[in-house]
Amino acid sequence: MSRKHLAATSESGPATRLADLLRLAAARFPLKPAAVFPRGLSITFQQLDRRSDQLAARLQRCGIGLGQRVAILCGNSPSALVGFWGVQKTGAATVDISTQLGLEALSEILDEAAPQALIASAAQVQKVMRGAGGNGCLETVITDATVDETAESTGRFHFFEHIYESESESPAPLDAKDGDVAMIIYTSGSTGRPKGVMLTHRNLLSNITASVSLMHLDDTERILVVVPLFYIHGRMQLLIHALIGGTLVFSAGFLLPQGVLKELLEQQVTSFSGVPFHFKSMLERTSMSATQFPALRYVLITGGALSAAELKELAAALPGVAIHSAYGQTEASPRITYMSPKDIRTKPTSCGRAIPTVLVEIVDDEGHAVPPGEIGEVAASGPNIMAGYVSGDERTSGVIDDKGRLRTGDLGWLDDAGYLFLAGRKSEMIKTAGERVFPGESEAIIRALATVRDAVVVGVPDPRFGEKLIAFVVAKGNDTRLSESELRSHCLQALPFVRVPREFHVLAELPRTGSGKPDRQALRKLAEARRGSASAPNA
Amino acid sequence: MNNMSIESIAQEISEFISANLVQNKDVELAPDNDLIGGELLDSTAMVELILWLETRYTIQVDPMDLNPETLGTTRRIAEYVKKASRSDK
Repeated sequence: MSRKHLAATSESGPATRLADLLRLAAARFPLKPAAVFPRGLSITFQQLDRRSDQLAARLQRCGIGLGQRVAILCGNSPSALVGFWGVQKTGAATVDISTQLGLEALSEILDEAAPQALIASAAQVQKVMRGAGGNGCLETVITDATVDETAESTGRFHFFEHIYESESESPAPLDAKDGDVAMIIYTSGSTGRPKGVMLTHRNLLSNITASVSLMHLDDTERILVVVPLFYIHGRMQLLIHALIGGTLVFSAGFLLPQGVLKELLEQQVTSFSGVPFHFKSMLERTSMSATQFPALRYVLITGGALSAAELKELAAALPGVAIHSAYGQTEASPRITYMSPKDIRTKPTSCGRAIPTVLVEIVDDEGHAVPPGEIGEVAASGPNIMAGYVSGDERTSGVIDDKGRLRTGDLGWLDDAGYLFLAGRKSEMIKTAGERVFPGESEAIIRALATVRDAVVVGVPDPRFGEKLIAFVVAKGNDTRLSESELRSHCLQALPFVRVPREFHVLAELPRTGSGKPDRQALRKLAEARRGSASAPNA
Repeated sequence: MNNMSIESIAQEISEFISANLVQNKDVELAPDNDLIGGELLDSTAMVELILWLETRYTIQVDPMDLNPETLGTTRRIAEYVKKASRSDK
């Protein structure tokens, strides 16, 4: 089979802004599905281009343009897709926020990012309206809710249905430059608050171009999307498939992994990208190993690693399917290193070599690069490294060092051939089901309870989720009323389920290090010991 | 377990979901409410639910049974649990 590589170029030159990707794809593949949604709904590149032109024109009439921000609060829906491209065509930056956040965290983010407009489903609009902050974005609300003419008459609410019926398809020309911020993604941050990662057009284009080239992707790809579009993993799939002219096939969801298998087959899917949790679930809880997938060409593992044994099991379950993996983080747009199928066979415990244009160094505490074989912090530099955080503290917090390198917080070493091997974490970050969680966020939420004096959250290894969050809590005045159900319920109100600790243990005091800080290592051991005793078979 | 009615199992499952898995406490979890289509549960919460069902009712959930017809509502889950419990004996 001929697999010609298609670069995103046209007579007018290569794509320098994200919006150029859709324009080029629509010109090259007008009638091809850009996206397929559950229940048979699909949208071609030409339709997506026209609808996002209409949205861009409406947003521009509402004063949205370069240097401004538009929040997107949608599940994986046609509105989320049109919304993203519509904002890109105005030159404004999208602000991606998890739809699962509680009111308080959502309000904090909207206050910090201060978007001038909001694109959201009906339920999310109501949530923002109930919130205490971030109301600036309610001046211009675009929603796929059922048309409400009273709301529309206020001039603040705009309904997709009416925009498609009446709006011009000719937005003003895009004046964004490649160094402008295109996208802000909110993710868990080391300072205990969610961080808005600002990525430029250049950041993202450099990363997706390198990825497409390494993986030899072309316009025949049809990828099954099981991850939300509001995180970098989903955004990468969207951008890569616009670059190559491939099709996004949106899954009905990963709740029932057996249903995902059906989608892989029925939709003639050629590729699938997931975090280790997805692959472990499919190996453990589906008939994947007994099923043939004639159209499937490759799978990509990101957001964590499978063990060598799990990789072997996955390869056996998917004969003839190429397995790739990538390592990175949102701040790196996101990919830093990449493992080809051959690399995975020969060096299964590595996370690969730096992608083109990215430099990976292992640095000591003083920031000096150390020789191959020596363990230190993984640092990355290149055109993919973020412009900064919305909060502006990327340098004072040490995430970007004085040489402009991204300090990943991961410990690792390089071999003589430049392959990276991870060896733990310098930061307190926990990876659970592919989601990064800094314990400070969960701890601050637990401490907000009037009955709590102190709280520490640690991650312990877990076969399904990679790591599992365990909370240790000290009650105020040794309040005996503090219950696990109260703590869980409180966290569920504020956090997506995946960031809620699975276990809560109430202690009289927290163990502390010599310097008086909570001893996280001792707490991890305590969590393991308690789990060991809880799971011991009855005598 | 064998003495429990479908209704009481469904009630127990609803209570577990409300207390442990669901963010939005405003959502009323009636026996026939769709657990799959909305944004009620995420995929990790569904794993926790299945693990809890297996422990609480001493059943083994067959991967092939993970579909909306068996797990789409608390009533369907309760019916599935009752059936799985009988066939495990």
